[in-house]
Amino acid sequence: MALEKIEYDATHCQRCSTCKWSHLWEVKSHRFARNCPSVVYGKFDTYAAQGKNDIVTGLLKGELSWEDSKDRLLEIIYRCPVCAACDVSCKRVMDLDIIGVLDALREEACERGYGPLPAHKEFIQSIMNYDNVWKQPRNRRAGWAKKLDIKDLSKAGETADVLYYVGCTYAYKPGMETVPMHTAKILKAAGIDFGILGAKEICCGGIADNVGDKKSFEEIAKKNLDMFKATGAKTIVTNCPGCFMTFSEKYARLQKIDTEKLPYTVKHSTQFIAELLQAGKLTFTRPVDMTVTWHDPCHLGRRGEPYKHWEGKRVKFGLTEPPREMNRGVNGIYEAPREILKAIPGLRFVEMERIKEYAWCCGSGGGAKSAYPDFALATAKERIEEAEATGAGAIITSCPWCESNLSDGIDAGGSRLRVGDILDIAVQAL
Amino acid sequence: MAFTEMAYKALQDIVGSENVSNDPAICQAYSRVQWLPSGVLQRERCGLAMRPACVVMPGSTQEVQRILQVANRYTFPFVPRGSGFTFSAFPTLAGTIVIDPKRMDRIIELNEKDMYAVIEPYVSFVGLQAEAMKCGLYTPTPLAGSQVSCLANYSWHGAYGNSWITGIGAQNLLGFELVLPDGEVVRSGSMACPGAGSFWNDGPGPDLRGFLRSGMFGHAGGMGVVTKISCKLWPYAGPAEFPAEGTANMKFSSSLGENWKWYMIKFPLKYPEQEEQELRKSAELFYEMGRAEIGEVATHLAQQFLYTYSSVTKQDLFDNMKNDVFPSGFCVVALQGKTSPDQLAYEDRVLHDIVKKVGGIFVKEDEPAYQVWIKRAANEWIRFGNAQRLSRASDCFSIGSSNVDSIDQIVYEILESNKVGRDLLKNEGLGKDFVQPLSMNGGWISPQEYGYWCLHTTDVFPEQAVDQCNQAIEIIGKVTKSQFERRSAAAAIHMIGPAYDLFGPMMGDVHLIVKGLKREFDPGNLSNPGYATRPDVVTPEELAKMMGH
Repeated sequence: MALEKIEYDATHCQRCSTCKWSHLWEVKSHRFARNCPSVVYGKFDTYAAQGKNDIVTGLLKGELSWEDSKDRLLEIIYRCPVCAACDVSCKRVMDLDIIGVLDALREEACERGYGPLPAHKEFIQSIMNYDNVWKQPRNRRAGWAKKLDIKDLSKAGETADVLYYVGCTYAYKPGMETVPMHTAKILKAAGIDFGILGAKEICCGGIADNVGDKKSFEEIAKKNLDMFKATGAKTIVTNCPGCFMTFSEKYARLQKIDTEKLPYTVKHSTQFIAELLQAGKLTFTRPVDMTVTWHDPCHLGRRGEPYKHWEGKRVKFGLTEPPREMNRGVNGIYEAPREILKAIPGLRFVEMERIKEYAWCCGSGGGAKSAYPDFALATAKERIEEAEATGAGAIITSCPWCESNLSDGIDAGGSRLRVGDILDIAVQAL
Repeated sequence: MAFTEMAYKALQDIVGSENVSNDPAICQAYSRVQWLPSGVLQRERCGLAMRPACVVMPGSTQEVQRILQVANRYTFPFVPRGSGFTFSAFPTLAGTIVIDPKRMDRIIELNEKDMYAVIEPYVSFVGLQAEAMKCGLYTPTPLAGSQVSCLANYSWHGAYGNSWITGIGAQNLLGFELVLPDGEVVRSGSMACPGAGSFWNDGPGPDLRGFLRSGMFGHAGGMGVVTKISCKLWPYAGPAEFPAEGTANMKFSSSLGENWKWYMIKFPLKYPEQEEQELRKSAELFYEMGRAEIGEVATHLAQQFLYTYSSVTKQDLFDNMKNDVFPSGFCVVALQGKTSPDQLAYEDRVLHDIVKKVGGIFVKEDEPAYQVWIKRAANEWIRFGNAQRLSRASDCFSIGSSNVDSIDQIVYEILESNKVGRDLLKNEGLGKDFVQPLSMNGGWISPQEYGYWCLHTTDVFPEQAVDQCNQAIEIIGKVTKSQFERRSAAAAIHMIGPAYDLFGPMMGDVHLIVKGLKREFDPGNLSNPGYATRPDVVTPEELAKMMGH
């Protein structure tokens, strides 16, 4: 069923290999010319978007069956961070919904009971049991906020202009609690009226959707949408690009509406802080003596683009009726973090070769890190090598998954580079 | 014999088990190509026979040699490929293996002084171009797009939009290393002489370029596996880093710096009524430019190029056609001051004189055609090529007619081919609804080497449907037949596959020489058998018969 939705897109791939390369205009060297972690690691065309289109075509035409090669099919489908680099490159020349194909393959795997993979099921089960992906007790979720005097909007009568949604990993992962603490400090410094959901905050559910478990995702999304409604939140700020994308894109898709029609506006913390800087509500005054480069998280960039809902059909020549405005990954959050870094006195900011909508993925997304850690690590090492080539002393990002995986890449490769969150740097400049 | 478990184990021993796979899911991704009507029909006829028995990824010339030796020992066919864009890179017979060169992706040498690069099969144009431009050099770019294998494109043919000076890819081939179908290695050009450098194709050493091709095209792996080439690079006085603004497919590039200048030239003549005058005026412009030996790029853009290259989306493409944004073809010229700013200034003056003389008009910067083409596609053509965007019109396309000859003759050929095509459309209803308006109006005139010779193509845009593709192929066949009836030189282009027997007698029976060479060097017909003998549509049964199975 899932595959039928994207039959045209998969079967009309011209297998030109554009999906395997960074946007041709942006390639700056032979060394860093490729964009797809899956095919770089797996080498066979099958791991590229082109190959996945071939797989769908084969499955739909009955040339290939799950029984032929179930384990390999699952590996092809899931050893991919769904970073959408292929989708952006493809749309330079064609009008095919490549991300739709990758998502449909995962959904199909789940519909058949083959997916998600055991590592993913663990996460999803944890969400069902504990409301977070890390099997942690609910009452520890807001542990980072103790003594910080932050409003708890889940309590009756509490209101605030902004709901600050922390996310599972920042809330629970040891060492990462500095990010929400620093976020709170910055918001306070700017005089923002904000609150959190405390122990009542639950996982966004993005991981379930990413791996194709639509049923679990719907269940979790419904709880969150009800919670948002109950708090009356109009503006949600989050640090985690996964949560950002889920609230913005996935919840809109689930409800079959455009992102802009959602009853709330969701902003990534870098976006919100950049706006505060622009409005003069926040100023960085202390110099930070560092040379840094910025890693664009996929869920903030390519996949952070607002969703445009479309229902229709392909007609003559593959035109769509009604005309479909496809997401192209170009309207994600790219400038805000750069504006923040550039606003920090003393900080020297250098770019890597593959940036913004052409950024090389860290390798962690789409459940790839949990199911295929070797793949995720190899992908991170590639990014670290690219970062080292800039001469920067640190690679900065704003995603707990990227940070964690890049950190593993640094350790595994023996790099002297440091990795950090943008707000950990920004707070030093207050 | 066929591909066996023992043969598979032998391949595992050669490349390591992680670099070979016979898994159906892995192999499925090497089983189809459908952007060409012939690919669609090939898939329809061959079905699962197009799925290779296994895919193997050698990491060196030595590994390629050993793979081919195993193929000979166990008698199974193999298809070498580059990036796998074109239909010749696919099996047409069950039991065929595909040799994917992804592990061979080194730029072995980039010689600034002698202006050449030695590369392995999976080096893309885009990677080579990025490195070459850092050294003040560049390579012409394929219309297939710069994501394709540079080696495969040069070995095959390589039609480029920016080949006014450089000529086609095949002419830029300075040397190669080839593993013959039996596993023996030969080298061509100065590459064959150790220590001589890979700078020249005529020697010292044997010039074996003719071995790689029959007519215009190479034999796409029909004579073994090319494992290394040396290719010519050209002087480039533009920025090392490509200047681009905007995002993803809404990108613009206004300038390649002060040493480059773009011009768009039109003649106020509308298609189809004044097509002949427009094409002849364009030819006059190119002849004058050739006489003056000026220019870096000079080409006449067909309507299909203008529309497809400049479109941001499929809908945009159809809206632009509806609004008649490009009422005729346009000439595009680039000048490059590669020796000095004075050179650019001089060529600019000469070009203005020529355009005035031939009655042309410089398209102004604020005109939509200039904005769309120069800002969006022109510089891209220098660095990347872009013709895979041609597929945007219907997600499938084919060259409708093509030829190589003098510029004058090419104009004649375009006019005559368009006439035949329009008649087919009008009288027989062939291609109704999917040929016009992009095709059979004007054509792409691509003068080569200062206009010494010329290339042209027109295109057809069927959908990926068997009936439409059949019609498209019928149109191409009838147009080509008319070319031969006019004693056109189109045979030089069509000297491939089934056309061997049809057109060979018109070309001094060269097809018999090609077939003789194939028999001599590949007696078992193992090296891409489906291609070298029958490229378009071939049944597994026919192929098996040809191979003596």
